[in-house]
Amino acid sequence: MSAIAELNDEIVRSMAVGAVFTDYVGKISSIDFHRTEDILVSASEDDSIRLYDIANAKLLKTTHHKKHGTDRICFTHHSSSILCSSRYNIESTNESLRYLSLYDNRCLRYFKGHKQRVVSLCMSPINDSFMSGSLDHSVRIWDLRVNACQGILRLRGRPTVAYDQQGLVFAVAMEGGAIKLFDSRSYDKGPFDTFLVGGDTAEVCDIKFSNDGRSMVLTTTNNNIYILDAYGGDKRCGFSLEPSPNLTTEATFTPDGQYVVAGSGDGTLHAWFIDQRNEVASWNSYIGAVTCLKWAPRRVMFAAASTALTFWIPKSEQEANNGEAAAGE
Amino acid sequence: MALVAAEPAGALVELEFGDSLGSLARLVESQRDLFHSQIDQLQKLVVAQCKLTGVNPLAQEMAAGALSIRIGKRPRDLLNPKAAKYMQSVFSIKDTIGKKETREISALCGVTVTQVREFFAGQRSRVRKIVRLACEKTTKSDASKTPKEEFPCNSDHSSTVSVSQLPSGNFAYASVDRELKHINDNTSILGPVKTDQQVILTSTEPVKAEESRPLLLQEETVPGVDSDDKEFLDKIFNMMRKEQTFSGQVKLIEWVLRIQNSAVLNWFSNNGGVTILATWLNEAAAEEQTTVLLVILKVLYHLPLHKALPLHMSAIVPAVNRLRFYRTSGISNRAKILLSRWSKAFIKSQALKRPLTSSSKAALRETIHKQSMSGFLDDEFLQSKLDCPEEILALTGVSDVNRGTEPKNALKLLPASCADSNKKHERSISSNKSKERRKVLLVEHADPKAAGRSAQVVRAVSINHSRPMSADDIQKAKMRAMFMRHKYGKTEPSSSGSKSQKIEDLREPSVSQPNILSECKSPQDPLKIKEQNRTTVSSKDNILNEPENSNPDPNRTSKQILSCKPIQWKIPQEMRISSTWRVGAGENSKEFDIQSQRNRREKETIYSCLQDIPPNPKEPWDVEMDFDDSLTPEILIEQAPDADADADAGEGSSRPLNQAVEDSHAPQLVPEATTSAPSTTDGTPEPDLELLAVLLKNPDLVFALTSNQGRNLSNEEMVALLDMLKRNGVGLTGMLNESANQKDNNCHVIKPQEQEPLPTSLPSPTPPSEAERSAWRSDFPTFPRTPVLQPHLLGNRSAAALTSAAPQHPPMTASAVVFRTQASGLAPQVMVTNKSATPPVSFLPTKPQAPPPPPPHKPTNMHPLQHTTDLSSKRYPANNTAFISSAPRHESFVVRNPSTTTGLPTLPSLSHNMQRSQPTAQTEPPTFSHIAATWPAVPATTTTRRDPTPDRFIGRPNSAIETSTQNQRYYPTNQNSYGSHPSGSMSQGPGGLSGRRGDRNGYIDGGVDTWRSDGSPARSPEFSAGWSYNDESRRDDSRSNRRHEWSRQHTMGGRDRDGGKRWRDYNHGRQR
Repeated sequence: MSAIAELNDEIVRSMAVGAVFTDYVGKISSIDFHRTEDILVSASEDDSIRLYDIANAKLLKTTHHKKHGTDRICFTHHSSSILCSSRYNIESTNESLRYLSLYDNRCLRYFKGHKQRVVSLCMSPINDSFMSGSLDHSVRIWDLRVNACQGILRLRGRPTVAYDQQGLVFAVAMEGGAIKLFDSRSYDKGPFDTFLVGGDTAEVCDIKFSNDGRSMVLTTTNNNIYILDAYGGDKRCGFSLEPSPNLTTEATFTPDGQYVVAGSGDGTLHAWFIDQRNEVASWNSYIGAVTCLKWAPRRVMFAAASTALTFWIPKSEQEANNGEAAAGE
Repeated sequence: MALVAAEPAGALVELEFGDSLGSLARLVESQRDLFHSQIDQLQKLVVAQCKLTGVNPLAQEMAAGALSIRIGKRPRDLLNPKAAKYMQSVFSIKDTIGKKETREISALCGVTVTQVREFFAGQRSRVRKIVRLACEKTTKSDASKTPKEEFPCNSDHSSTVSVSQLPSGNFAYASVDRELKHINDNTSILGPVKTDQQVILTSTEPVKAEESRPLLLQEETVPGVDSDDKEFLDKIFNMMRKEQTFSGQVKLIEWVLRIQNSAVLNWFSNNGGVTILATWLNEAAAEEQTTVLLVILKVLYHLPLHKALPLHMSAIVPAVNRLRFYRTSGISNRAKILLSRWSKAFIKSQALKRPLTSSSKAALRETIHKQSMSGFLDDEFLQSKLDCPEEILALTGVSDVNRGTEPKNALKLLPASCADSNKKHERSISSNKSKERRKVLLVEHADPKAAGRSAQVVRAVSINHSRPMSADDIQKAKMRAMFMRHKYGKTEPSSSGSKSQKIEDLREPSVSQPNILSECKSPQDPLKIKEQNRTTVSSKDNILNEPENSNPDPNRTSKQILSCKPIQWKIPQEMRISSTWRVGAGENSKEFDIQSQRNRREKETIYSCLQDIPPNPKEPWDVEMDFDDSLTPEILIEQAPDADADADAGEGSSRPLNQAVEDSHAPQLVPEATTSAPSTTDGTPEPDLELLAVLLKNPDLVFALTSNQGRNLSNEEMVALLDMLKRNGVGLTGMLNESANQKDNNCHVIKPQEQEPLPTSLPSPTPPSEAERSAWRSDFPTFPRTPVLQPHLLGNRSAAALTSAAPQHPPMTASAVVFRTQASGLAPQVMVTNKSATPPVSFLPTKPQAPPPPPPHKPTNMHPLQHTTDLSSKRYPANNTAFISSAPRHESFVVRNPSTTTGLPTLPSLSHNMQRSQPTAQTEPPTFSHIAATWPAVPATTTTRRDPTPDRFIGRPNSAIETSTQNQRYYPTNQNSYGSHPSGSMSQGPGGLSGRRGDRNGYIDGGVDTWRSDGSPARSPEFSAGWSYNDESRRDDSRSNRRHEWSRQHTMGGRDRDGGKRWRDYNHGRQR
């Protein structure tokens, strides 16, 4: 199977559920792909962390975290080390972030500092630094190797953070849909650019950069999706989907940066071709409103999760022929 | 003596044996025997008691008996058929009679008031019993018949009378009595036995109690039977209430366990036994008395609690519910089973009024038949027994016959696992029995009131949900329901409803059957009637609560919902990510290696099954100290205005391509100066202090500086001047002159300089470079100026002279090397070295390879031009132009050295030079010999060659530093260092620079490191254009970021990956 460099409408349209994991008790709060390995990790409200092989759609490992709970989750560069934010006992233990090894199921380090739940967590694509945005209105920058916080940003509103795929820039979203861009190497100088999206009330709950670094996709809590030019901050396109109350949702770029896939509150998934701003496909998610949606970094495959986890892969020829209707749906 | 009434047994006997005469005779026989033996026992007892107490316990009775022969017996005799008939007729009209009526009847029939009351009470209970035993048709006649025959029997003292229709009751009594005697010989249980009529009546009493407690209370005044019964049970209750040791409790419970008469048990449970048990249960749970818990649970199984009052139920249920989570699995299992059994019983009772489905008619018939076979209570027991096959009930051994009769498969609701757990349960009982501990802490018994209060709360709940549930249960059920609704409601709104409907349907059969069973009973159970209406809800809730039911649901539904079956899984195709995007993959992660190593050390933990997975991961090996969060640097979230300027400037300088055009020289200069100054000084306050000290010492200088400031004296120059001042420190004699000259020089120099660079830049084909050049031009002044300044300084002059001598250096190179390493302390020497160095600069690389130098010279001359033409090497033009301007005739390198050396006073400019020259230096030295030819094509090749240079010169910077420091007296460090450099060759220039920087910053290694790392990665030619800028900016970066180890990584990584066209801009903006 040779690697492909670009997707086309056909492939995107042919995406269908290839695997389902329904053994969760409760919502899946976040999922993350490893940047290079074919693995995915999920965190669920049932306090479990599960590791999947995405090439073979197999559950590899499960661990429980009853004491702290699991909320946001994120791979580090090592395939068995993950970062996970806590859901419980944050006040008492202050252990809002944990650095965990799935290899021997051990907690490697606690990162203390956030006073409330972490709602956004991301790892630098290149080095050991990572960022966390918490409901205590702060963003912290950390290094995996030390438990001391490297920097703190205090801001208003619910923060959302994201690194670009090159690790050069990070974006912090704050109240009013303001996106501040920082140089990840000299963030101490403050932001070098600020974009505003979606009006005063917009609350950005997810940011992702495209692999080519040219675009970023923002998802707001009322499920508007904006695709910005990552250099200039110009809005390239915006899509409005049905909001799902009390749920944050996600939109994701395809690895080639040409398409954006997002989940709607009505339980459907939509894909757009960015350049022409046209909707390429929409599917029934089969699992209700999707809370987590991420495209695998190096595969023609994406994962969508709500209370169950689904892996989507393109249909083969005959499958596509057989179930055209289903695909179209 | 409620215990006496073995109603079901009696009924059973009656029904089973009543048909044939033979069996009747047998029955009579056996009863007679029983009575005889009882009387014997009684006699023995009485004798024993008499002996022990010295008082005839029966004295009163005997006296009464003696009296009754005269008086007492008469009324009984008077209770003749006539009176009985009359009362019967009255009873047929009304169940209860008032006092007035009682008196009237007594007067009319000549019976005592008491007797009348007794009669009616007995009739009532009898009727009720019969009603329950059979269907209505049969009851009335029975009821009317029994009393008639009953009384005659009653009137007779002898046991033979028992042949009559009440044998069953007596029989039951006898058996139970025996049982009781085993249990407790000392109690007054036998009291009631004293008079026969009492005994007989007792058999009916419990039924009454069981039917409704209010009735019982109402009849408390009823003498004889009731009081005696209560006396007995009160004894038990008294003992129970008083009993505070666990062992005593266990003993009492065991007594209760031995009672098999469900009526008695009912009475017991309804009269507060349950409350007490609940109290005990709580205590035992608190004390972790496993044995006691087990026994109590056992007795709770034993008691017909499904018929208990809701109040009592709600008292006991929370306690049991709590035990579900008890750490001993045996107990928790038991508690669960118990709860599920109760819930089932309640469901049954709730389902009372449900219309019977036709399908269950057969079942109805069956059950009716069974009811006729055995008492309802037994029936209940049977059910419960079936529910918990090996449960305690087996111990009681009640009605084995019944058990065999009709296994109700439909009622086997418990999963197979239940049997297992039961077995375990029993095992644990036996094993735990020996572990009995004495309770240490006496906990006050929760009085019934308290229990009742707590019960109230639960009761509300239990009414809502019809099955006693804890708040926890309810919460869970709600969450589950919400979850299900949320999960499936949206996609298929109907699914949740239909699903539950379906499940209900599934349960229908099992629910309906209990309905039928309890149907006859229904009118008598107000609680159940009350709750019927909620059956639907409750059953649903119950389903939600029942793990065995609910667990498969999500799966089933999700599968259902996932109407589109997942397509055949195949490994998804890989996607290539364009390498030009430079998507990060943790290249600079150190933690990756750390973790890889750790994983090599550690053993992987693999859990073979889900149960093995611990609830929490292992804790970290070592507890790390909490850091001081107050020290965490706060990052601005607003773009500071000056930061903007900075950014602009940075961008201007670093990405001239984009922005320089727009930028005027002046603005650029300023930021340059500001940025460079801090960069050279690395922001440390020291230099400033020095400068301040110098200035303070020389007010004249200050005056000159302030007053004479011409337009030519740019900030940068100013800074350079100040820097120089600072360095020269005390010896300021020439300062003023110097400054004056400087100005002059500036004027002079700048012009030529500006002119000169132009030609060099002109040739460059690239328009964008224009902008940069212009930007650079503004920088240039520093260079030319410095050479002019030099005349004032000995070193400078010599340097200048040397520059002219530069062509000669070839021979000098070797010496230069020596110089550098050796003593450069003397100014002249330094000068020499400068001279020699400058030429060597060109040869520097060759120094190791000594011979080649000469040829390069000429080619090097070419460099400037080439550089300028070269887009990628925009930095170079600057240097080159500088060289040219300062020493037009000399080879660029030669020139450059002087320029640098001479330019020393202007540190900032130097810093620029250095920064910018670094690339050139880096590229040049190695290439030097080669470059001559290759240079133009260089960028790519240079990059590849960078590696060696740093390595080669790593050691040198230090020496350079030494010299520089030594020379500082006379000249600015830059000069010296550069002077020394020559010996080190051009390539050393960079080394020296870095070293010098390092010297100041204390980051020698860092500087070198960054370099090396900069150079090391092979850059594809395409990016070379960007690099020159990036290099510079990165250098800045690296300097500014040196504080953090990894910030350096950033720069490195960033540069390597810096393919983005516009990202560069960001970088520059941010790097600053």
